[in-house]
Formats: sequence, structure tokens, C-alpha cells
Amino acid sequence: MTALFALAPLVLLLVGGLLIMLVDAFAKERVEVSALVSTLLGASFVVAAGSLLADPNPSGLPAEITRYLAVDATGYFTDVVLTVAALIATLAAGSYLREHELERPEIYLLLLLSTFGAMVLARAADLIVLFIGLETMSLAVYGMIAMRRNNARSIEAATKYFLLGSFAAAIFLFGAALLYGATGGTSIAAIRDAIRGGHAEPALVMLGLVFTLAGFAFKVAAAPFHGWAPDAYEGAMIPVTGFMSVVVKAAAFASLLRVFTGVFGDPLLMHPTTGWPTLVAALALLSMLVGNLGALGQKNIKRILAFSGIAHAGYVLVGFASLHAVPEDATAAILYYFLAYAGGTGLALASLVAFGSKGLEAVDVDDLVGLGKRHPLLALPMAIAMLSLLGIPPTAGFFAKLFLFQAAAQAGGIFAWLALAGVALSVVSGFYYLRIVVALYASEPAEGAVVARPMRSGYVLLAMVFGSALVVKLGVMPGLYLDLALEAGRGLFH
Amino acid sequence: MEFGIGAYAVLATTIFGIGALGFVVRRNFLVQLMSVELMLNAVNLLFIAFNRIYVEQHGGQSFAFVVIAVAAAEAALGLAIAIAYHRIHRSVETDLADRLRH
Amino acid sequence: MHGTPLAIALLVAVLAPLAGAIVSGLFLRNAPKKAVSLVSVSAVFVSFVAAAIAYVGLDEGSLRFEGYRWFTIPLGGGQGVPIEFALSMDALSGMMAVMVAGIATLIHLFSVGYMAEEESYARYFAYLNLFTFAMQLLVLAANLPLLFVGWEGVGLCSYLLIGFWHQNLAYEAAARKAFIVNRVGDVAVLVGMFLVASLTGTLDFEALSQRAGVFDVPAFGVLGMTAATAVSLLFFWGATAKSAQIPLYVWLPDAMAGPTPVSALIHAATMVTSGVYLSARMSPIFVKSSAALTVILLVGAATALLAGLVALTQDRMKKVLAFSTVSQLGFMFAAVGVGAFSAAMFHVFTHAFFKALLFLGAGSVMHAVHAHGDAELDRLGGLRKALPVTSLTFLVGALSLAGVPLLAGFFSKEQILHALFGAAGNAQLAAGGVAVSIPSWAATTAIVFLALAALSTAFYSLKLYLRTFTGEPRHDAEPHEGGLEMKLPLVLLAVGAVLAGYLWLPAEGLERFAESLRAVVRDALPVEAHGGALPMIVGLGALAIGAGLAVALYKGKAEDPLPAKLGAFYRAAYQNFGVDALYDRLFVRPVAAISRFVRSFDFETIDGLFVGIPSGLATVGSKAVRQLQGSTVHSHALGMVVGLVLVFGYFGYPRLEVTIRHEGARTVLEVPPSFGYSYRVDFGGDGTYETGDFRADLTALAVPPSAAKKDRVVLLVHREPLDSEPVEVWLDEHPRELGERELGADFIPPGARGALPIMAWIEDGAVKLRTNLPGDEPEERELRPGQSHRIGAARLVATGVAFARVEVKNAFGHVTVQELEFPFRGRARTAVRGGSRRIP
Repeated sequence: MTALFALAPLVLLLVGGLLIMLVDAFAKERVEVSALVSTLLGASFVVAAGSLLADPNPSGLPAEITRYLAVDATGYFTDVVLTVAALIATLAAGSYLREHELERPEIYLLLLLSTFGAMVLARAADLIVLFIGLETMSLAVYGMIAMRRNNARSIEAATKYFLLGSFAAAIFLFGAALLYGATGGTSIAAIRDAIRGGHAEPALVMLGLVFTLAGFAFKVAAAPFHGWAPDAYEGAMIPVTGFMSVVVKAAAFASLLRVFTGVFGDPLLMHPTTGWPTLVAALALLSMLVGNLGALGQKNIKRILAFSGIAHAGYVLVGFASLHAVPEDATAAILYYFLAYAGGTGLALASLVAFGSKGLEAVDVDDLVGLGKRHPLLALPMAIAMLSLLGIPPTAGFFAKLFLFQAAAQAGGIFAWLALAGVALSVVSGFYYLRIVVALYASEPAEGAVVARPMRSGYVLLAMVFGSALVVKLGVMPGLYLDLALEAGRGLFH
Repeated sequence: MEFGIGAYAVLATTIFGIGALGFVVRRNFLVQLMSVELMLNAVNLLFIAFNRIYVEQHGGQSFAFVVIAVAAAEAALGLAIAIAYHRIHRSVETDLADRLRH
Repeated sequence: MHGTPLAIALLVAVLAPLAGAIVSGLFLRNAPKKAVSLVSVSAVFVSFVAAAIAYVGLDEGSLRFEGYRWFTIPLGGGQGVPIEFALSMDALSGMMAVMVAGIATLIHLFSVGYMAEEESYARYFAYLNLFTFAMQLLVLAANLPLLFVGWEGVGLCSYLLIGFWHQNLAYEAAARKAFIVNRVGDVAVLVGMFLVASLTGTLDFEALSQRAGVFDVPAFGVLGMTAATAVSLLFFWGATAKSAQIPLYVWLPDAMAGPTPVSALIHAATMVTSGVYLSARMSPIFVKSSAALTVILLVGAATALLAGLVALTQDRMKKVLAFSTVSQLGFMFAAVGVGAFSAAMFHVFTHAFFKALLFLGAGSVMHAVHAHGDAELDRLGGLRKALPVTSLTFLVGALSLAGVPLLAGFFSKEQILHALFGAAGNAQLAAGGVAVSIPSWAATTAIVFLALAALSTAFYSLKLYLRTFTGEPRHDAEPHEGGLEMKLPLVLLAVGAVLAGYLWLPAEGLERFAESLRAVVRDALPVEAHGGALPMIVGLGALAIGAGLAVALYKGKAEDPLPAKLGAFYRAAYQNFGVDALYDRLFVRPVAAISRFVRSFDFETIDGLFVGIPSGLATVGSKAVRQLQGSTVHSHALGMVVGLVLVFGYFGYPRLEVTIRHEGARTVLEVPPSFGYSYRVDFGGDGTYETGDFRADLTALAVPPSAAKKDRVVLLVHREPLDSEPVEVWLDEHPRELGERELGADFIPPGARGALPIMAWIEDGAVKLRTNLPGDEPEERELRPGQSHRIGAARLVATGVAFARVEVKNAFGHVTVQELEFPFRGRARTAVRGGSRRIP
């Protein structure tokens, strides 16, 4: 019973999701599924945040639970990030689907179940559970993208993401099988202990690392495993893009954090020059390069955010590369980054939803021209999001980058140079983030140009207010959240 | 005749390689789906073979069952997407999907 | 939150403009223009009053408003640097805050008239208010991170305001150029901030100036510089971007695309001087590095001259003023470069008045003749009658800029010249016990540059006035003065441009102003009259020549005779000496090319990608790239497989990192332990492995005497202090000279430089030395391994050489081999041979 309470954020979503499904199936009148799902996600968020503040590391839980699902501060923190992002996406969907006459209750349920899968993935303490969480999350996302069955772009995005995602899952599984072969365990703790104890066949462990890392790198869209991301993001509906770019990425990163500090947390494997940190640093650098340079010439905002997502994956990987030197600081920085990135990207995509209306959807940067002059208040969240993603103080993104690069600088050597490269490349990102701000506030549309017309809908406004508050709060008072992230990070190393 | 674990591992790796090669080389939605299934089955074989080293518990076999179940769900969804794809392109050649680009 | 009532005034000074920005930006969009003007002008005025009250109430020392604990920069191990949300005001920031708010108020007022016809009136004032907020935050911040918030904020507002009139693409390009250049500087500020935090454990200005002693320790070497040099240069780098110095000045002239009052406020009076302000803030650190100060001095002087020359040739009012601003900022940095921070701030102060005045005058002219964007000098002339107020105040501003005695610009420019002459005269300046030594050649060069710059300043300010207001009209407009709201700021600023200099006079009642400022900034030399009458002679001479030339050339002329007279030089200077084009080639195009290249990894737009690469290579390369990429499932899958292979490749072969360490007389070879790695080592190269077969537990191994390589010897040079690492000198049979690099800079006697006093080579397994020191007999001596010889402060030891062959095998059975030669004492020489292979 205590276990049920301890896992309340997950249980709420699962039970609530099934109930909503039943209610929707049997109700005589149309049910406002979007409101129900948003409420449920909000409740889950509150419970997760409450647990994080009150009792982040509950004890006395049965081993049958904790062997499979970690119940610790890190888990609650990722719950908070994932529910926040899912909530913003759901609220945005509530407006978007109705405005564009695509309303179908299944999407919200898929969103809910996908979030559940993401939370399981982020908490997985066993590779079997990890795989189940990963697939629950991914299958639901494939479904959400393919929901617009007659839209060629959506189906193309679904095709690419599905095929490549299955391919990546198979690669990950192959790695898991090799790790099992090397150690005889499927749980992170068992594999870790076998490697520490020297009972594992080194060649199999190394191959297992290579294949699982490749699988994760695909899910977080790190270069060179990023090819799918711009296509899938562009083809999906805006709220789904928002969901994918934050929830999927954050959950995969959280799981990567558990696996790489657990299974591969051996000091020998984490040796700064011969172990995986240098490799991760190389992936980080490549991702930052590809993401930032790739975004430069794009017109489509979803595509810009896709490349921006690749770049941000690179920044987060900088934190991973520093784990060997300052494990707790780097973990805290990574977790904090999730929150900032969730706020920034979620807010940007919610704003994009709000900027469009039926037949006049905001797609390209040009569609936003002059919007800030006509609707200064409505355009403000988008500007805040861009500044945060760019890392201008005092927004969430500034501190997120500061803490990450600080961790890398402490790791010293090539990692300090990596941090410097990250700072320099984030300068490049000014080109594309600010293009959007300029379009909003400092440009006039050409005569007769078709521009997006904002919709009027409460859901998405709520999402924007919530997201803006988060981004600004994280910037003006980052202390509390960094403390929480530090606390959550310690959960991994207790 | 008795085969060692090594032989199974080599066989599984070979099948996995064939699947991966098929996925990369072929451009037919269904063939690529089948290639992924081949890769998953190679993984299953590997799990079950390795379980013979660790006979006191059944981690590998349980993992294989989970993989089989998830693969079924994945295939169902994949076929649904394939049908939608065929309705749009009148073909299952995945190269036709290149509208999303810059 | 707490603070005295006076400290609350600081908060008001910062927040009032923000409130104004929010109200007029978000709620008064459709309100009448009067309401917008009222809100935004009074918001800034409130800020001015609050700042002035706080400044007047400031007696000796400082005011501080404590907010809350903003965040903590983690430094690992549970330690961190706490950062407060706190404001503080001392003489330095007080002067800036009052000046910023005061000038901002006048410029807001001027804008009421100037922008009266503007459609986006409320948006304009919201941005201007927002800018004032950010600038006040920058100035009043109590620590570096908060200052950085303001620093970024002013950049952002500047960006929005440059692009405010977005009728053509060039404006947006200018705005973006400004922002990106500024970001380039921000990187340096951030890195500098991190260095300061990790060295001193604080970023609070007050604590920092107390802990500046940390920087006296030379042990904190960063990239071969002292910590003080590194930090100073990083902050200066940031300042070069914000304050438009070489090489990052290119954005400022383009920034004039914005409305003229914006140019006056942001790009002349306030934001661009924040680099100087930051330097003054960091003066306790700056004065600890003579090297950094020398760099700053030369960059500042060179910028002053270059921009002054370019300003001579510009033919639009705002362009002349823009380059003039760059040039004047160069003057300020030259003062910083000799450690005369208070002189630099003095020039910041006076410059704000006369440059704002000149820009507003230009705005008034443009308003009168309905010129949009900028006014061409060729289409002005004869405006004195029609615009009496503008004409008179503009003349005051121009004369003040030129440095006419008894006007504000004269006093501050004289002080800078005095400081420079002082630096040229006595190379050693005393700063709180630390000697600052500026090479006298640098100071002399700077004086020459600044004298020429002052000459061109006098020339172009007079030219500007003469060509605008005198002579025959070359336009067909019916000019008229603006309303009171435009005339009043002109008059008030003109009063400032006359009187601001007297605040510095050592007169009764005024001395506090300058003295309290000097109590805050760490001047490297007391700013008294240095160099006697010479600085004044130079200053007045430059003024007389420049002004005389201008009057002679332009009095009553309709055409500009300068292009014909100067020819090629004129054209080069007019084009900013090609710097823009150079930057375009050096930075902009490569970045564009790289971005195209990266994009092609996802798309098939490869056409025109390989510009400049031989076409054969291009064909092959593009074909290969085409095979790899595209926008299909297939191509993405290929990308993943390539990634997988690369990841696998990383672990495929083991990396070998050998370190040689010394423990007393023992030499130890160390290898990093790593997962799946096993090592074996062969000492001496005899084919037998001292470790036996590959061992996984090997981490350190003492080098046995048997590792010695026969007949190989290396010379180790121990220098003062003798316990530091010796320098290894690898010799062969050809005699070579031992110089400064081997023996230390202080070793070589001055007369012997380049005279080959010490030659060394190897002969018969021993080091041979031939010394030919002045005053001594030529001498030849042999050092066998273990023997040593002392020359001056250096001890030369011949040492035997060890040989080791280290092999490492990874989990996959791949082996990497490295063969090393190293002295029994000293670091390993680079690998002589190495490679990887598979052992069956």
C-alpha cells in the first residue's frame, strides 16, 4: 500500500487514464476529455511535486517494487518535468484540435498513456521495465503523429519515426541482451554489481555500452542519430511536436542518466580519457554543431525547434560528459536543464498553437511577422521562450546553461574546452532564436501578405501563462529549483 | 550434437546483422518492418541462449517474452501506418516519403 | 528584503522605468499618445529623482539594497558562490545612474516631439523605458551576474530599437550584426566571471575589491598569463564589443539605422560606455596586470585614431557622429590603459552630454528637413537662420567635442592626455603598492595616436557644423524648429556640455565629486598635472590645426573638397578601411558555408556547396555525400549506422596515456587503469617484458636502472627556484646554442645576446659544453651522466635516458603500442614510435 502511495504520480495517470477511457466509451453525452486529462496530469504534477518536497526518498518499500521501479527523489523530479511538459502539450492540444476540427478523444488518452510510459522509462531500475516504458511511450507517440490519417506530411513523419524508432529499439535491445549475457542480470543494480565485482566479460560489456548508447542517442536526437527529428517534428501536429520534443527527450535522458551512472558508473568505465565521457563529449560537440548550424537557414518554426532540440541535447550531453568529475553537480545541472528546456520549448510550441487559427496556422517565421505589434501581450511568451532557449539572463535557460557549463569547467581538460565550445555555439543560436523575436516585434508584414491570426481559446492561454511563469520563476528565483535538483541528483548516488 | 553458447551468440549476431542490413538496404516499408522483426528475434535468441549460463533464474527468458509481446504491438501499429502510407502514395516504397525537407 | 529608506530609492530608480515599459507596452497600445508620453517620461524622471536623492544622500562609502539570495553557483564538493539579488550605489555607480536617468529623461522628452508622427508610438517608448531599466540595473547591480543581466538587457533593447524602423532589410541586418557582435563579447564576460568566481569565491563588487589580493599570486597561471591578465583581457574583450573597440567596433556605425534619439541615448551616451564602466568597476583587478593595461592602451588609442580618420570622410551626419563616438570611446580606453580610470569616467560623463546633444541636434535637423534615416551633408547647409536654437546648441556641442578650452570636452580630454604623458614619463606607476609598468614606447605611441585623433576630432566637428548650418542651402525643404519638448532638451544638454567639466575642478564644494570617485576606482597614478604644460600644448595644437583646416576648407564651400584632395585614402577611409568587407570574408561567409554544409546532411541541397574546392574533389565528395544523405528513411538509417560504427570505433582501439612521475630519486611510469585494459611494459628494449604477460592491475611501475639506453644522454637545466621542474634539452652531435628558452630570461648577460655564448652537443655518450661568456676565458667541458655544472643561476645536469615500450590491450584484444624515451628525471618525450594492431 505504501508503494502505491509512493508511486501515486504514476498510479494516478494509469488508473485515471483507464477510467477516462471507460467514461468516454460509455457516456451518453460528449465528454470534455481534454479537461479531464489536463486535470489528471495537473493532479499527478501536484502529487509528484508534493512528494519531492515532503518525502523525496521514501524508505521501507517492498523490494518487489524498487527492484523494477526506482522510488527516489530523481524519480519525483523527472515526474515533475514530464507532467509539466505533458500538461502544456495537452492544454495546447485542447485548443489546437478544436480550432482545426481534429478533435478526437483518443489523442488525449494517447498523450496520457505516453506520459505514463515516459515516467516508467525515467524511473526504470530494470532493463525489462525500461524497455516496456520506452515502447509504451514510443508507440503512443507514433499513434499520435499518424492521427491525421489523410495528411501526407503526418503519415510521412509517422513512417520515418516509426521505422527508425523500431530500428533504434532493436539496437538498444541487442545491447541489453549482451549486457545480460555478460552479467546474468537485467536490473541496473545487478549488472552494476557484476561489473564492479569483475565477473563480467569485458568485451560483452563494452559492446553492450555501444549498442545501448546508440539506442538512447536516437531517442534524445543526438547527432549523428538525429536524422529523424526535423522530419518527425515538422510533420506532427504542433502539440504533438511539443510533446515529443520535451517529454520523449527528457524521459530518454533521465533513463540514460540512470543507466550510465548505474550500469556504466564504474570508475574504470567512467575514466575521463579512456572511458565513455570523452565519447559522450564528442557526441555533445557534434550535436551542438549540427543543431545550431542546421537551424540557421530554416524557415519552418517546428524545424527550427527540432534543430534547436538537437543542440540542446548536445548541451545536456555536456553535463553527462562531466559526470565523472562532479557527479552530483552535473546531475543537478542536467535535471535542472530538463525543467528549463521543458518550460522554454513547451512555451514556444504552445505560443505557436495560439498564434494560428483555422486556415491561418502559424508555420513559418514569416507568418509571425508583426504579430507582436498587433498582439503584444499574446506574443510575449514566445519572446520569453526564445530568450530562455537562447540563454539570456534572467530566464530559466541562462541558469540551466550556466550550471551545465560550470560542471564541465570543473571537470577540466577537454571538458572545459567543450564548455567553451558550448558557450560559443550558443552565440550562434542567437541568429535563429532572435529571428523569431524580430519577426514578432520589429517587422511589418508586406502588403497583402497572409499572416497568422491568433485563435481565442482558454486552454492554450492557460498553458502559456503556466509556461511563462515557470520560465521566469526559474530565472528570477532559481535557487529553490536548483536545490531540489541537487537533492534529486543525490538520490542517484545515495 | 551439442552446440556451445558461443555458437548461438554467433548465429544471433549474424541474424541481427542480416536484419540491420536489410533495414538499411531495402526501401520497402514491409520489408523494413520484417527486418526489424528479424533483429528482434535475433535478440530473443541471444537472451534465451545466454539464459543457459545463468540457469538459476529466468531473466533472459522473461525479457524474450516481453520483447515478443511488444513486437506484436509494434507490428500492429506498423501495419496500420503502412496502410495509411499506401493510401497516400499508392506504394510502400519508403523513398517516396521525402516531402519533409528543407 | 531590507535596506534603509535611502536604499529603497535604488530599487525605485531601477524599477520605475520597468513599470513604465510594462504599462505603455502592454496596456497603452491604443491609448492617446499623450498618455503614453506622460507615463514613460515620468517613469524615467522618477528614476532620475530617485537616483539623484540616493546620490546626494551618499556620504563617503556606499548604499546597498539587499534583495534575496538569487542563486548559488556550485563549485563542487558542496561549496558554492552565493549570488544575491542586491543593488548598490557608490560614487562610481551613483554618477552613472544619475547621468543615465538624467539624459534618458531629456531624450524621452525629445522623442515626444521627434516621434510624434510615429504609428508604433507606445511600442517605441516601451522599448526606450525598458532600455533605461536595463541600463540602471547594469549600473546599480551589486554583483557581476546581476550586472550581466543588465548588460544583456541593454543589448536586447538596442537590438529591438535599431530594427525599430524595419522598412528595409539592411536595418534588420544591422540589428542582428549588433546583437551577434555583442554576444561574442558576452562569451568573454561569462568566462571571465567564472574565472573570478573560482579564484576569489565571490562575484560581489565590494567583496571583490577586498579580495583582489588573490590576483597578486602569480601561481594562478591561465594559458601562460597571470590570472589578473587573463581576467582583465576577458572583461576587456567583452568591453570591446559593447563599447565598440577594435576589432568589434563594426556594429556601432550600422546601429545608426534606428531612430536618432535612440542613437543619442544608447549608441552615444549610455550603453556604449558600459564597457568603460565595467573596466572601472574591475579596476582593482585591472591594475594588477601591466600586460593587459598595455593591450587596452594600444587598442584604445588605435581605435581613437582609426575611427577619427574614418569620421573625417563620412558624408552623413549620423555616420560622422557614430565614428566620432567610436573614436571618443577609444580615448576613454586609452585612459583605462594607463590606469587612469577616473579620467576615463570623467570623459564618459562629459561625452554623454555633448554627444547626446549632437545627436539630438542631428535629429532636430533631420526633423526639420524631413530626412529619414540619415541626413546627407551634401543636402544640408545654411540652416542657421531657420534653426537658431538647434544651430547654437549644436555649435556648443561641436566645440565641446573638439575640445575648445573652458567647455566640458576640453577638461576631460586634457585629463586623459595628462595621464598618458604621466605614463610615458615614469614607466612605473604605483597602484596600492603594486607596480604597474606600461612600456614607454606604448605610451608614446598612444600619445601620438591620440594627438592625431584629437586633430581629426576638431576637424570633423567643425566640418559638421559648417556644412550643416552655414553656407548656401543645398536642400529644398522649408525647415522649422521642433516644439518646446525638442528645444528644451537641446538647451539643457548644451548647458551640460558647457558646465559638466567644472564638476571636476578642484574648487571648494566640488572636490567631493571627483575625489569620491577616485576613492572607488583604483587609479594607477594620482591624476595631477603630469608632463607640465606639454599635454595642453598638444591638445590645443591639435585643436588649432584641425579647426583651422576645417574652416579653411569648408567656409562658404558648397562642395566637399576633401575627396579630391585625399584621393585613394579618402575612398579607403570612407569604406571603413575595408574592415566590413574583411569581416564578411573572414567570418560571415565561412559560417554561412558551414551552415549550408551541415544542412546538407539532412537535405539534398548540395549544389554550390563546394565553392572554391577543386572540381574533381567536389564531384567525388558530393557523390559520397549524396550517397549518405537525403530526406528518406533510408538515408536517416544510414546516418544511424555510421553513428554506431563511430561509437564502436571509439572503443575499438585502446588509448594509451603514459605519464612519467618522479618520487625523489625514483622515476615512476604510470598508466591509467581503465575498463578491460591490461598492460605490459618492456624496459630497455631488450624484448623481455618486465611485467610478464598483460596485467590488468598495472597502474604504476618504478623504472629500473636496466631501462637505461646505452650512450643516450639528455641535458636537464634546473632554474630558479631549483625545486621547479627542470627543462629538458635534447641534443645531438651538432652543436647548438643554449639561449633564453633553455636557461631563463634573466640568465643571458645583456651584452652577450646573440653572441653564441654557450654551445652544447653530444659526443661519446656525454654532453659537451663550450662557454664563451663575456669577461671569462672560453672554456669547454664534458658532462657524463650524473655530472652537473653551474652557470649563473642555472644548474645543468647530464642525465641518462630510459627507454620503455608500453603495450595496452583492450577488451576486444586490440593492442596499442608506444615507445618512449625519457630522462630518469623529467617528463616523457613524445612517443618515438607507436601504433595499434590486433594480437591474434
